[in-house]
Amino acid sequence: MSVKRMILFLGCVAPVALLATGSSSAETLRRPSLLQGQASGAAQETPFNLRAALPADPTTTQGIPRSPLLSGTGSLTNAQPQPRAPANINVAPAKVDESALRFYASQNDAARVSMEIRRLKALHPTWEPPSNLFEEARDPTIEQGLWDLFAAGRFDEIRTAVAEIRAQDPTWRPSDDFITKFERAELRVQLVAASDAKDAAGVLTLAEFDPGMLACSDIDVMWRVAEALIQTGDQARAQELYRYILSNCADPAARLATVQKASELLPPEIVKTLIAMGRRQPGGMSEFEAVQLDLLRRQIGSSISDPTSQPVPVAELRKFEALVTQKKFANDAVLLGWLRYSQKDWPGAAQWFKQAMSWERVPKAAEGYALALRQQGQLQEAEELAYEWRDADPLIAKLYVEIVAMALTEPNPGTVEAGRLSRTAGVVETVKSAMGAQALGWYYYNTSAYQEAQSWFSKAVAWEANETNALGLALAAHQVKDQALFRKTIAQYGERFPAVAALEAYNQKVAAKTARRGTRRGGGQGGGRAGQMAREAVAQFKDGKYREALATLEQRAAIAREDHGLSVLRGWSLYHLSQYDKARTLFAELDKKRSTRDTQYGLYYSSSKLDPTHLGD
Amino acid sequence: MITRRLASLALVLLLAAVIPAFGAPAQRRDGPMPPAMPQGLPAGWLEAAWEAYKKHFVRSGRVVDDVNRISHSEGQGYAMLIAVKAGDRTGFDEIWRWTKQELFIDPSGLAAWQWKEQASPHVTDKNNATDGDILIAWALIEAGEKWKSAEYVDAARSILSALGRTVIAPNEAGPVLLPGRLGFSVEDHSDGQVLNLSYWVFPAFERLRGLAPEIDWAGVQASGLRLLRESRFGPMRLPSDWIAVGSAPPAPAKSFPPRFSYNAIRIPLYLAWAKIEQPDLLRPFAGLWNEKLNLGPFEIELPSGSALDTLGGVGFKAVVATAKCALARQKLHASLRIIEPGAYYPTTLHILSLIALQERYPECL
Repeated sequence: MSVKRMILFLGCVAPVALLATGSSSAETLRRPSLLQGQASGAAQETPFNLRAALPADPTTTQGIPRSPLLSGTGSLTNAQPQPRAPANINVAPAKVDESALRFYASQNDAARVSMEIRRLKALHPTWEPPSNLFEEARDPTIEQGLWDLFAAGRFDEIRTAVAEIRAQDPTWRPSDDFITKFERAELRVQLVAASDAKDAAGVLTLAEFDPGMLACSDIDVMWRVAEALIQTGDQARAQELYRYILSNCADPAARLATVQKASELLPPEIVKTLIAMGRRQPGGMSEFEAVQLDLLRRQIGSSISDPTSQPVPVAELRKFEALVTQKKFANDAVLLGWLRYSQKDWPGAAQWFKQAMSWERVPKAAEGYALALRQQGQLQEAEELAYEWRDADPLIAKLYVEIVAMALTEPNPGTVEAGRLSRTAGVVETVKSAMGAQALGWYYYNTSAYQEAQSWFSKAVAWEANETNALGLALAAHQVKDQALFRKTIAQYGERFPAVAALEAYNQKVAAKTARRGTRRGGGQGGGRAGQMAREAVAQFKDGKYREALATLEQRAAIAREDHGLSVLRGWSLYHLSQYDKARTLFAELDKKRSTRDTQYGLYYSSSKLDPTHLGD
Repeated sequence: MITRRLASLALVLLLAAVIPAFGAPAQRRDGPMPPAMPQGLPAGWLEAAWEAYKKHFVRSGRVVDDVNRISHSEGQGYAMLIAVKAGDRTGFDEIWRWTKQELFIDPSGLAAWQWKEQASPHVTDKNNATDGDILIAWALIEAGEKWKSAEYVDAARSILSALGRTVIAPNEAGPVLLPGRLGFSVEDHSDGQVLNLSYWVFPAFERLRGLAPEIDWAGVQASGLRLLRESRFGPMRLPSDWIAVGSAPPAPAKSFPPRFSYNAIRIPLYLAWAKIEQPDLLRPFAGLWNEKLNLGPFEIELPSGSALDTLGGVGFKAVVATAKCALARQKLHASLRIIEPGAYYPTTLHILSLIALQERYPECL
């Protein structure tokens, strides 16, 4: 094997061998090495010194194979370019006109260059010709091809092309500028890949390979390294890196983005120190004003979702409120409304929401305002507002239905005026609210308008088949003596919902009494005395005799275990007797044991009776 | 000290008669264009050129360098190469026989570089010139293949083996060719090994490799290219005829004038003939002749880059034209399609340039 072949062979094998002996997390990373130090363009800027900032850890920096562009040539790999004599611009007397000389050189017209040198030397014996006449003519065709591939990101092809040329002529090398930029670009690709893969250790290892990379020319890489530092728990270094960017890099957009990124990854107190590094703008505002506001908004947001979190400092909050008022920031006013709402400061919340609505047509402001009104007991105003804004946001329509539904299912709702009923019906139809249909169903049922009740329960079941809806439908059918619908409902839902099955048992008992026939034993309600009592309780409940139904259930509980369906019945009895806390406790227990739509609804309604605050959530 | 390629006043005077010949083709070029550009060279051009060459320079197998008034191994090698390319076995044989008999007289197995008719004995210095040996061996290999002659091949083999024993020397750049077996080593010169980059006959190496694989010809080629790349002296970034390679990068050898001259002018011919096309290697040579002004190529004083005398002979322009072709596929200037009678050395290079173009770059013809 010739030496050249041997070298080429080793050039191919070396990275593999190094990979095989590589260590830990860095094994899969390929590391291009830098031949010539940092880029010349960044000469005035000292890059961020990641290596010094990090504790030395040899395990992370060994074992990643170096893969220089020019591999496999031993000492040639690191051969410095042939030193060029410095241009003699200071030596050449100003009177010597070198323009022709340079023109001929630019044409690679060596014959005329050497003749012109002879002429100038004869005229000016002390003059020395410039040594850089032909520098610009270095390898433009090959190198241009490489730059084209570089621009297209075809790095593998660059390696192939360079290897092919060097196979014939091992001493050929691309310009140092190209090598530096190529190796950095390739390293960058790997770093970005590691960063995207959340391989923070890999990112840091790669970043250490090229100390020149952490410079203002590539802020994205610095962001990724900072993120990796945070991911590896090195918040302090990350902070230093962000500070480096803010101290050294001029691009306003990049600076702003830097603080924005930091504010997403670092705690507010650190972010504030970064924001403090902002430059004053002509108007006196900091260049990071926007980030500062966003940070404050996020803090307010945390406060809203978790009232036990660290409160926003009062001074900052007052400043923010003043700014919001001055600039009429409607969305921020809504935010402040929710903050007050979360603090149960209903009037304060109402004021901010109303303020926001006065500035801008913001549905969230209307929703918040309606909720705040309801919390203050201004139910009619809340209902009016929610109705007015019902089309702006499905949540407001839902809120409207909830407000009305609660009014309709009061133990004694009294007479509801026709107009209010019809517009409720309209919204319920529009949003297909099962809850609203059920509320209307119960309202009509309780006012003995069974036909209307049956119609609404039908819709409620169609939109959402749950125990209460099915029960309502069966009861209404029973009342209008629509036996076909009654049986159909029982047949369809009896197996799923015990309360419905219980209804069937009750009905059969009545029928049996009438016909003097033997009863069929109801499955879930128990036989004998317990079964009879279960059917009684259902009948009492159906007749609105909640107290009696409860009493029957108590008696029955003394002799038999109460099943899920009867417990739901007990919950609703409590509910209708306005014993919401007991109802909620019961529904919560039931829901915990076996969560059904009925337990969820029971929990929901009883909870909303006790604490209507969260109805809008 | 070996001093080769003397540019004598006589040569310059001789060429004064040749240069006006350029006037005619230049005028033709400015006149109406011919109906079609001629493609390739006319059939039989090489045979005709070779016959004229023999008539001018070959005397009973001895090739006469008419300017230097001597014969040498290089001339024998060039002529053998042209003969075999021209298919003239009789001529080839005659030259080889003379060479064997008159120059291969040393136990080293290499040819004595110089032969003087006036001197007695004709060979006064038995040192070799490595390029001469390489050229002879290459021509023998070509001839052995063409005429199925084991004798030629054996002779080539023996020369190559002698070269491997004596003139291939290690260097930091890789294996290098010493210009002769005596007088060029580190011990002989304070500034290091003294080398001549025009002795790297790149187009021969591929053929030599087949016959003498024990020699690292690829390494020799690589070291030559590396030294060439590092030997860019002065503002013209050209190599000197003789370089010294010590511990530092190459420099013009102190025992010779720091000039680009009659030796180094052959480098671009060998690069192109070997189809080594790196632009950065070819570019410094490609501008040496301005064909529009018919200016150059010059000998050049490298430290200043100043032009000295014009290299005397049309053949040097042909070498530069070959570099222009290899670099940028520039067509051969019409005036160079015809081989005008000139001195031994430029005429030889002219013929070799046309052979190289015909073999490697027919699109430039």
